[in-house]
Amino acid sequence: MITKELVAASTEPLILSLLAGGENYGYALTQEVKRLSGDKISWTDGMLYPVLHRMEHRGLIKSRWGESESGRKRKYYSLKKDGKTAMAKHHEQWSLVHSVLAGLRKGQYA
Amino acid sequence: MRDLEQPLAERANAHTVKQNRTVAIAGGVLTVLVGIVILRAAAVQSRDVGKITSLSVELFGLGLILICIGTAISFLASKRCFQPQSPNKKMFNLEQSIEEWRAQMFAAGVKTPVPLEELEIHLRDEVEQHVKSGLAVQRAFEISVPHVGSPELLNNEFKKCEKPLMKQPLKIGLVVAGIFAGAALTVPGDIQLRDELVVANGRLGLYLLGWVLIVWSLQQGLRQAILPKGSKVKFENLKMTMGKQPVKTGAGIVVLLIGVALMLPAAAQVCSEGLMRFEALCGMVFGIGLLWAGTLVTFWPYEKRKA
Repeated sequence: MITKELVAASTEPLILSLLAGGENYGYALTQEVKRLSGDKISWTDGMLYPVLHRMEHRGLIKSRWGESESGRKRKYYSLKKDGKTAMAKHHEQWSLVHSVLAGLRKGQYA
Repeated sequence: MRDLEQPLAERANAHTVKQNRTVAIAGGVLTVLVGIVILRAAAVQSRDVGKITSLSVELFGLGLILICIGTAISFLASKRCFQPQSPNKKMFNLEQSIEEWRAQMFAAGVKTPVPLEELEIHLRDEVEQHVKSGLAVQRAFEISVPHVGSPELLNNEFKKCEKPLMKQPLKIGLVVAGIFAGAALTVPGDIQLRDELVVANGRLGLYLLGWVLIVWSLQQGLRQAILPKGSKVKFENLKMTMGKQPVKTGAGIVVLLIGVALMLPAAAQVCSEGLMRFEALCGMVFGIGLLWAGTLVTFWPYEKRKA
């Protein structure tokens, strides 16, 4: 399992990256993260919504109410222009951290 | 791991019900005692004056009412209405359970419709998913609720989304200013109280206003001190049974009534004589405290801390 701190830090970049693939709703986002991480990233599901609302307040994403195929009301979220910029920044920063860690690891095992 | 959750929750539930019953019985006994004290005060007052006055009749009535309420609460607390509910005795109703969950969220402060509706839709999706994978509806609901998150924690997170109306130092400054202003308003009354053992005329109004301001400022200060830490406390959801909420609300109402009862002699004195004696003032201050505590107990959302 990934630590709580890392999960919290990665929530925003993960949401932005998932929404880059098209608009989606909260439950589907949590399921997608579970699937992609092999159940290793575990969000307290309800905690996703305050994060989504904060991101919406900051102008990174926007939302609209719609209906699912089963007729259930859903709130769909999608990326805004600022969200795309933020996502690019996150990718850059996480890639940097990853490359530093990978380099250090290589040095240790060389 | 999840198989262990159910018995643990049931044990915690039974333990809480036992605690609540004890609190309710103690509250009932306390109410009866206060009733007896008020009856005695009525008797003493009649003896001192030499006749039965309207104040002693009021006190007598109030004492009797409190004795009746206290006896009823103690009796009910020892009977079946505070027994823990067995889940097997009642058919599970998903809509009713979701209503109860919504009530818990609402009580915790998630009051704006959008987050609550979104969370409910999420809960329904989760339950549906578990049912599709072969779980019974009740079990699916019980597993899904903790996944969605505790009301307190969610409310704290949603609050962070709202823009704060005032900055923290300004709020603290206002609380301190309120306490000092309240204390300043009570000074003339304090001096009169020290010299004459009564607070009368215009000073009485200022004195009461001062105390109200002090209590209100302290309440605001406590909220500032406690609430930011709330997000760090882990809570777990416990399904609310018939027994739990009425016990808490009942105990709160009893405390409220005692508070009102303690304030009555002071109010009667002010109405009849236009002044407040020291004993009545003490009762008044204590009564305001109980009124405040009773309001907190009555309206505080029911949550069980994680062990």
